[in-house]
Amino acid sequence: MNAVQADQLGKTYGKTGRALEEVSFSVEKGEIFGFIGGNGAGKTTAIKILVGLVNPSHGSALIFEHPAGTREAKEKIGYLPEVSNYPDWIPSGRLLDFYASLSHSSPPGKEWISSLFSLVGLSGKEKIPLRQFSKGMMQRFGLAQSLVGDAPLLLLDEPTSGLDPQAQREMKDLLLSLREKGKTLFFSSHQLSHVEEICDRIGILKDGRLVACASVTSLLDQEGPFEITASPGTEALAGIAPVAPQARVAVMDGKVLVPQEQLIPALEFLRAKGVHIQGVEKKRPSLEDVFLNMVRKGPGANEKGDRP
Amino acid sequence: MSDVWLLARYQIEEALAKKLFYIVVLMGLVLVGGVFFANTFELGHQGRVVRDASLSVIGVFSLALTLLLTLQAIPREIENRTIYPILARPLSRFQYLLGKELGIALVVGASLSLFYGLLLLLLFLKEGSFPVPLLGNALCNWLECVVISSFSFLLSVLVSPPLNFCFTIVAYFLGHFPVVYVNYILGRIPPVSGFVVETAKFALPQLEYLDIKTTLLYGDPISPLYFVEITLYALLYSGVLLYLAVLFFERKDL
Repeated sequence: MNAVQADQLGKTYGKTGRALEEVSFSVEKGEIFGFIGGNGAGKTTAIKILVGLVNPSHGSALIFEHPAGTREAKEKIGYLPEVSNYPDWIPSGRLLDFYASLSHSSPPGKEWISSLFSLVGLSGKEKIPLRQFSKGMMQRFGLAQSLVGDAPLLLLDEPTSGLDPQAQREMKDLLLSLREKGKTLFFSSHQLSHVEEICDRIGILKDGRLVACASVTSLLDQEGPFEITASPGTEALAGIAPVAPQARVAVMDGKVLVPQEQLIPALEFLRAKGVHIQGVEKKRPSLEDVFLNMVRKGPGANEKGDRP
Repeated sequence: MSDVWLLARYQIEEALAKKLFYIVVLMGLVLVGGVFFANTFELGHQGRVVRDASLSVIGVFSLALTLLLTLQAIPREIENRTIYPILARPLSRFQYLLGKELGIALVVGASLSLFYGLLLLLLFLKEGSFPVPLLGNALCNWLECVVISSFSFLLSVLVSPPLNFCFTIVAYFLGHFPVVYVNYILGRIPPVSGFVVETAKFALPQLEYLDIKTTLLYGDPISPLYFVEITLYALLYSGVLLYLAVLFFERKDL
């Protein structure tokens, strides 16, 4: 059973404002799925549709086989909004208790709330009103409230937003520990290094369209550039641009980095120029390289991917 | 139902956390007492004048409280996005709206109890007996607040708070427009305009029926059945408005 199943999801605001366009993907139970994309790519809209806060213009989404937005679907999710705003007139512990009561499935009592505060690094802050919380503390509280209800699926919109580097690392460890406890995690983020480190699969959104959806390993394998090594100082390397426009050349080192699809033309060009090629090696790109490459390529849903 | 009660309690606590709420209640109490004493000292035993002025003060302050609590209740939660963690829980938007309305109705009811409690106490101290019929007016005041609150709730999912305020105030005054005048107007305008007036009369809250102050002040009897009828009317009208509000709110993207 998939934790999330989205089919042809679309959202249009007004007549022309397309936030999402025919987005299809699935998230398996127990996996960590990262949703990445530039600002306005449609990540938050997609997550809000899964939570039931936004109605899709077309398509459908299922949460553990229940239509998104229904009571049954909401019982299965914990949600961290993109912007962590909570009522500031109520002590944080009581607010969490209120959310727990609405979620039904959480065990009541102060001990349980204290353990949740402790889990997110807010030990002893239960009686403090939220107006006294810093941005980072609010984000931690946001994660705590998403864990209320012990839902099997966590939908986290930018969970590391507003956190300092150390807190980001702690958040990453916390997310991994939640996966070990059997939770399914679906989150959006701009922290591509974290996404690369902890996600099993990722979806890349561009202008409301899913341009890639695959496992991190498969994406990184497919997108790896090739490094051609020639003799240091080979001047001919500098003229490679017409056949390999995206090549990155280091003439002094005798190295050229070219995308996979430009490797053959590049090699043919260098051979024609009489350059002695010492070696060709496939390099492992970072997720940032893959992301930027995908985004530059433009739309084309599921161009790369082992499954949507 | 337990979710609705939880949300109502949350709404009550939120209202009680507002300084402005206490200021309005306190001002209302001071004015009820002030009107009572001012009239007693200046005009002698003009019980009717005292009652009239005190009940008017209570009417104005209960309306002010209702608007204070209702106008921003939903828009602020949407604007601040504090609504997200609530609606992400397994509850419907109907339960959310009902809980909010119930909470506000209870807060306004409690405030009215304070206003009428003070008025009855002062009248008891002055006259030696409790003017029980005034409790009927308390019920009417509360029902009026429930209707106005439902009207404003419906508008709050459709228009901005300033527009909501204007429309609600207009509806309040039109709702108090005496039915006899409306019928008089209907008899003197073309049928097309008459249809518009009839529709507006049907759609707007008939607050005139909830205004029994004059009847009470002149000591005319009011049948208990009348209170049953107006209670049913107010609850039915509010129920229809809540249903409409839910219809629009369900379609609203947050």
